[in-house]
Amino acid sequence: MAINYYYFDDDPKPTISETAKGLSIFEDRLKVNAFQHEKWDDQVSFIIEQQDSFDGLILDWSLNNKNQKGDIANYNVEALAQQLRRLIIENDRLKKDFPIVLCSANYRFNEVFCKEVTGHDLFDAIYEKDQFDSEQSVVINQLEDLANGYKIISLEKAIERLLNTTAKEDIDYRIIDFFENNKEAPTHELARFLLNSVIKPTGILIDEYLLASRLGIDIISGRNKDWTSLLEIIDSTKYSGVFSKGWNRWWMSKLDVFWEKTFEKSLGSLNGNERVMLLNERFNLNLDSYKVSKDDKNSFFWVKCKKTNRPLALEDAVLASSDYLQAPWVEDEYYSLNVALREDISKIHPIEKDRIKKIKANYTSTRIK
Amino acid sequence: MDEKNLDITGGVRFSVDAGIINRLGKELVGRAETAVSELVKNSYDADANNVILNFINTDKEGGTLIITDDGLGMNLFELINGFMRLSSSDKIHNPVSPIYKRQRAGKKGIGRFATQRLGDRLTIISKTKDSPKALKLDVEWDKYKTDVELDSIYNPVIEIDVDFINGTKLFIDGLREPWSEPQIKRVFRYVLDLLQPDFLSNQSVQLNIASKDSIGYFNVNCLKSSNGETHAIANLDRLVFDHAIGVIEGYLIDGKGLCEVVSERFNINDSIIVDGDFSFLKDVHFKVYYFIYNYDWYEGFLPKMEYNRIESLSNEHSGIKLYRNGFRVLPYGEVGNDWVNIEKTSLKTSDNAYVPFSNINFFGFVEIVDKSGEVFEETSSREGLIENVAFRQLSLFVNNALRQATLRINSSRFSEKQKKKEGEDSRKKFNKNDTRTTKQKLEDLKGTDEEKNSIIDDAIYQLEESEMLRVLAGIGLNIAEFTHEIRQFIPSFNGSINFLIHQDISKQAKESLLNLKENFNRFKTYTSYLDHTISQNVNRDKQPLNILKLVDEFKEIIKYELTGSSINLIEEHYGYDLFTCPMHPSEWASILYNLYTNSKKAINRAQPNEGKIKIVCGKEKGKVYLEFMDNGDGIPSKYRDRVFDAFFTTSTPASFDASKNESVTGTGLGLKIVKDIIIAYNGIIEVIEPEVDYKTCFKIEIPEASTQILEQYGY
Repeated sequence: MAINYYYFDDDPKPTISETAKGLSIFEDRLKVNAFQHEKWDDQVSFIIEQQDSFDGLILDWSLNNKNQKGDIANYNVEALAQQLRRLIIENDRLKKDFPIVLCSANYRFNEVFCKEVTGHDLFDAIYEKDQFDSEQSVVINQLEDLANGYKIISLEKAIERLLNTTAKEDIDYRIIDFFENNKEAPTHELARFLLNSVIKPTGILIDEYLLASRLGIDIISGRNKDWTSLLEIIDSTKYSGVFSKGWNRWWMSKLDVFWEKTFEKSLGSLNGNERVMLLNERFNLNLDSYKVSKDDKNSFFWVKCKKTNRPLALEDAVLASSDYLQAPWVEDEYYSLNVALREDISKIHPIEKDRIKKIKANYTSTRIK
Repeated sequence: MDEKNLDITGGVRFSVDAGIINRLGKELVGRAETAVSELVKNSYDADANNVILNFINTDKEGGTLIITDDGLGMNLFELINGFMRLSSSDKIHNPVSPIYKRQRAGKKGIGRFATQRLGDRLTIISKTKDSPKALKLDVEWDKYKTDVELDSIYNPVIEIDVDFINGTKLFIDGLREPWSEPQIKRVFRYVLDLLQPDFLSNQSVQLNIASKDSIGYFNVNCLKSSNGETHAIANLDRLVFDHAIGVIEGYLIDGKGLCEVVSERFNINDSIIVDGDFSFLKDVHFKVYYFIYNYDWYEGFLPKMEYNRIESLSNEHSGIKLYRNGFRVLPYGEVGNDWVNIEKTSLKTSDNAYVPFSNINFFGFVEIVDKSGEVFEETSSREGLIENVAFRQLSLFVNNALRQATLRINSSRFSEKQKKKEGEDSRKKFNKNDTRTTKQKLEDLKGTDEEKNSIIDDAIYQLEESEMLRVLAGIGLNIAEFTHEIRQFIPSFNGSINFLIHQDISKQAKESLLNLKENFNRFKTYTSYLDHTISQNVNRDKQPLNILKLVDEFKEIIKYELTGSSINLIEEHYGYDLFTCPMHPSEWASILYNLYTNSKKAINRAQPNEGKIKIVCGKEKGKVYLEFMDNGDGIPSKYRDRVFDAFFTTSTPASFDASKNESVTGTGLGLKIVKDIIIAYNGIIEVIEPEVDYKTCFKIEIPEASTQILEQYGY
C-alpha cells in the first residue's frame, strides 16, 4: 500500500501541487498531497480529522503569505510541529505517531537552519526543495521509509528486531540500554534516536563512502558496475532494519567478520591496494583502488573527508570540530588536509588548530615574480 | 540708639538688624520652587515617609501653601535651638537622620528663610512622638523690618491638641507669587532624587500593613486646590505608574488565567487568556508596570529628568514582588531574584526581533490570598516559600501572562517603529515655492568666474553620478525581491517536469521534456550569484573575510557560466589565512563579479584561442592582495587611470534598439563602484602589468585583519 504524505505550504495551490507531483512519480510507493495552510485552529483540526488518510506530514518553513481564503498563518511551523507532538503523546485526539518533515526553498536553508538548534528535535528530516529534484529518488526513498519506519517502531520495541540483526553483540550495549529504559517513549523519540544517533552517524553502521574507504575502493571518480557486484557479494553485511531503504548503511562489525572469514587477515592491517587486490582476485572483479595524492602519507584508508567523501588514512586526516552532544559510539569526523587548510577554522577541532597553523605556514610558497 | 549714651564697658558686641532675615531670604534662596523643595528636604531629613504639598488658591498672589509631613517633628527645645537659631549647628552634629540614616538633603539652615521667601506669614505646628501636645508657632515676616533689633521681635508659641502622633505642618500664607501647575510640577522634579517608592500591594494598603521593606520610603504628593476642589498634580505614583509603557494586570479565577494589557502609549487595551495548568492555585492577582529603557520611546511623553529617575529607580526597585495575605514575602522581587523565570526566557517577535524582557523592565507585585496556609508554605527559615507545585504554577502563570503581554506591547512598538521609518523616508522636503531641480539651481548659479563655474560643473557631475547610483540601487533592491520569489517557483517547475517525464508519452515528447529539464537547470545557475549575494545582505555586520574562501565561493557560482563561455579559470594562492579587515561579504561578490564581467567582455572582443582568467591572492606588508587578470583585448596605458572614472566605458553605447539590459550594464559605473568600495576600506585598486600570457591585470590591496580583530571575531 502506498505511503501518503500531506504537504502544507503557503505558496499558491497550482505551484505546490506540481512540487507534490514531482515527488509522487512512483505512486504505488509514495503519494504527496499538497494543501495550503490554514489558520491555527483550522489547521490543527484538519490534521486531526484527516489523520487516517496520511502517514506523514511535510511542512514548508515559511508560512508568510496569505492562503486562498486570505488567511495568514498566525503561527510558525515549529509551534505546529510541537503542538502535534504534544497531541500525539496525549494519544487522545491524535491516535498515531508519524514523521514530520520540514522543507524550504530558501537559499542554503540547511546552513541557516542549523543555527536554530531548538527546532531540531521537532523534525525527522529537513530538505531544501532543490533536493526534491536533484536527489529525487533519495528523497522519495527517505519519505517512504520514514513513514514505514514509524509504523514498525510503533508496534515493535525489541531493538534487535528493529535493527534486524540476530547478533545482539553487534549493537552497542548503551543502545540496548536506551531501548530497555525507554519502552514507553513515544514513537517519534525512538525514531529520532535511531535515525540521528544510530543510523546516520558513523559508528556501528557506516555509509557507502566509508565502506569504500575501508575497502580501499575509489567510488569518487565514478561507480562502476563492479561496485554494484561487490555490494551484492557483501549483502550479508548490509543493514536492513528500520530506515534502511532511505539510508543505505552497512554493519561495520559484520564487515570485519566477513573480511576475516574470507581472507583470514584483518582489514585494518592491509593498505588500500592490498585490499582491492584481494577482492579483485577472490571475486573476479575489476575494482579501482583509490589513488593517494602526493600529500598523503599512506593508503591505510580508514576514514573519509567530511566534505569531499574521499578515503583518508588517519595520519592524513584532520579532526573536524564535533558536537559535544553526540552519542559515545559515534565516531569522529575528519577533513582531508587540502580541505582543512581552506576551511573555516571554526570547523576544525581545537586540538588540530595549532598543527593546521604550522602546516599553513609550511605550505605557503613565496611568489616569484 | 543714642549717640551720647554708648556703653563700652567690657567691649562691644555685634548686634543684628532684623532686616537681615529679608536679605538672607532673598540671597540664600533664589527661586520660589527652590524654596519649596528645601522645605521638602527638611521633611526628608526629619525621617518623614509622606509629605503632602497643598497649594490653595494659588492662581494669584496671596494664596496659601500647606506642607504636611509625618516626620519626627520638633519639641520646644528643638524649636528654639533649631528652627529659631539662625545658622544652627544641628546639621553639623547630625549628618544623617536619626531613624532611617538618610544623608541630609537640606542645605544648612535654609529652611526658615525658604518660608520667608515664599510668603509673608508662617505658622508651624509640630509634634514629636513623646510630647503630649503639639506646638504652634506664628511668625510674621513683615515684622522683621530694618532698624529693628533682631532679638527684640517675639513670635507667639502655644501648645495645642492635634490629630497626629508626630510630624510637622507648615502653613505659609500670603504667598508672594502665584503657583501654576507647571511650577508645582517643577518642585516635584527638584525633589525626585529623594523619592523612594513603595510598591505596596492593594491588600496591604487595605489591611494597613506596613510592609517589611518599605520602611525607608519617602513619598511626596503635590496637590492644588481652588474653590474647595483639590486634585493631585504630581506624585510618585503618577511618575512611575502613569508613564509605564504598559500596565499588565492579571487574575486567576477558577483555574482560568486572564490578563489585561493596557498601554496608552501604544493604544492597546487587550484581554489575553493565559493558557496553562493552574489547578493548584486559587486566588491570584498581579499588577505589573512595564518599562523599556530607551528614551526614544518616551520623548514627547515624559521629560528626560523624570525618565532618568525611573531608570535609576529600576536598579533597586524593579522586579516583581510577592505578597501573601498582604505581607511581603522575601526574597522574591529583590534585585537578583528571578522567581518568575524572566531572565531565563528570551523573547522574540515573529520576525525575530529582540524584545526587552528582564526583571529590570518590570515594577510590580503578585498577591496571593491563602488564609489557611494550605496552598503555600513558608520555609522553616522564613525566607521564601517552599517551591511546591502551586509555587511553580504561580511562577508559570505570571511568566506566561507577562510574555504574552510583552509581546503584544512590543508588536505595536515595532509597527510604530516601522511606520515612523516609512514616514521619514517618504517625507521629502517639498519646497513648494521653488520648482527648479537641484541641477537647474546649480546651473543658474554659474556666472562669469571660470573657476567657480568649473566647481559647479564638478558638483553637477557628482549629482548625476549619485542619481545613476540610486537608480542602480533601486533596481538592485527589486532584484533581491524577485530572486526570492523565483526561488519559490523552481521546485514547482522541477516537480512538473519530473512528473511529466514519467507519464506515458511519446518519445518526442519525452525528449522535449528532457531538454526542458536541462535548460531549466542552466537557468537555475544564473540565480545562484544573486542568491549568494542577496543572502549575504541579510547579515548587516562587517566581518574579516578570508579571500581564499571568497574566491572558492565565486568559482563555485560561475562554474556553469565558465563552461558555457569556454573560459579557463586558474587560481593561485600564496598563504592560507588571508583575512581582510572587517568588510561586508556581499561587497566582495560585487567586486569579483564586476571584474569577471569586464574580463568576459574583453576576452569576447579579443577572441583568443583560449580565454583565460587568473586569480592570484596572497598577503604582503600588512595587506591582503588579489590580482585578477585576463587575456582579453587589454587596456591602453593612457586609460589605465581613467577606467575607474564614473561613466568611462569602452563598451559601445547601446543602440536605440538594444535591450534594456545592455544599456544598464554598459553604464561605466562598474569599476567606479568597485573602487569606491575598496577605498572605503583604505584599500587600493590599480591596473598593473600582467603576467606573461595575460593582457590585463587589476590588483586590489586591502588592509589585513590584525590578530586582535581576528580574535574578536572568533578566528
